[in-house]
Amino acid sequence: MADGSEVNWSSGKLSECVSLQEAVTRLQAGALEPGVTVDLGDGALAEFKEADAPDSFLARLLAHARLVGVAQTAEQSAVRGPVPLMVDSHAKALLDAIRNAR
Amino acid sequence: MPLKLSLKPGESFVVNGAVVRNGDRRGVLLLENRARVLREKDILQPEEVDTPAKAAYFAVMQMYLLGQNSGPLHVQAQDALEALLKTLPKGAARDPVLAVSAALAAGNLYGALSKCRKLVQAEAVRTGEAA
Repeated sequence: MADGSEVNWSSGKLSECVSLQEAVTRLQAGALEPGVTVDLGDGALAEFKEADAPDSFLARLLAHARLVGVAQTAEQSAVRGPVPLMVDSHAKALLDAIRNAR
Repeated sequence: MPLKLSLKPGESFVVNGAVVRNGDRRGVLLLENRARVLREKDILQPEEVDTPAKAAYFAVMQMYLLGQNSGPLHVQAQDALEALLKTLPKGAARDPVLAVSAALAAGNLYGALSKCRKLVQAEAVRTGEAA
């Protein structure tokens, strides 16, 4: 199609498949329709679902696009110290319950 | 098709935010609908996180346990994936890390966690540590 999108039949139903860049452009314009599938590369797809908040879907796509860029450009480096760890309070309660059940 | 869980005596698991523990006999549970299930053996405690792959797994595991596919936990997961990615040489070695990121972008938390588990296993092989 002229806008870089294509039709995707893989799920057995007709749906539009767009590039990551096209999806970001449409999301930023508030113009991405639910049901549209985003091509993330290497065969990975992400469907924009009715339940998806546009802002969070956009954030997820941008985060992935950023990591793809890092993967292509960043040189290999040694690990420097421990990786900072954030423990969500709700997750902590779950993990404590599991620990206490042991 | 239900998910069949064969449980050892005393084995715990989490289902949709509830911690459940099996009694003192072996047991089998059938989950008839889709739910966020994680077995005790697949749960990583914070003090066990001592490598970049485990940090990524821990972040994605929290997202899965809480059913959150965006927000601060997602930011932490992406940061951890980036840190892990930078320990790997450029090229195909980085693809499995990107596959986790793609699953997160798609909101597929179970898929992301499964792929992340393989990253931890691969890291253990690379570093000579038993997985």
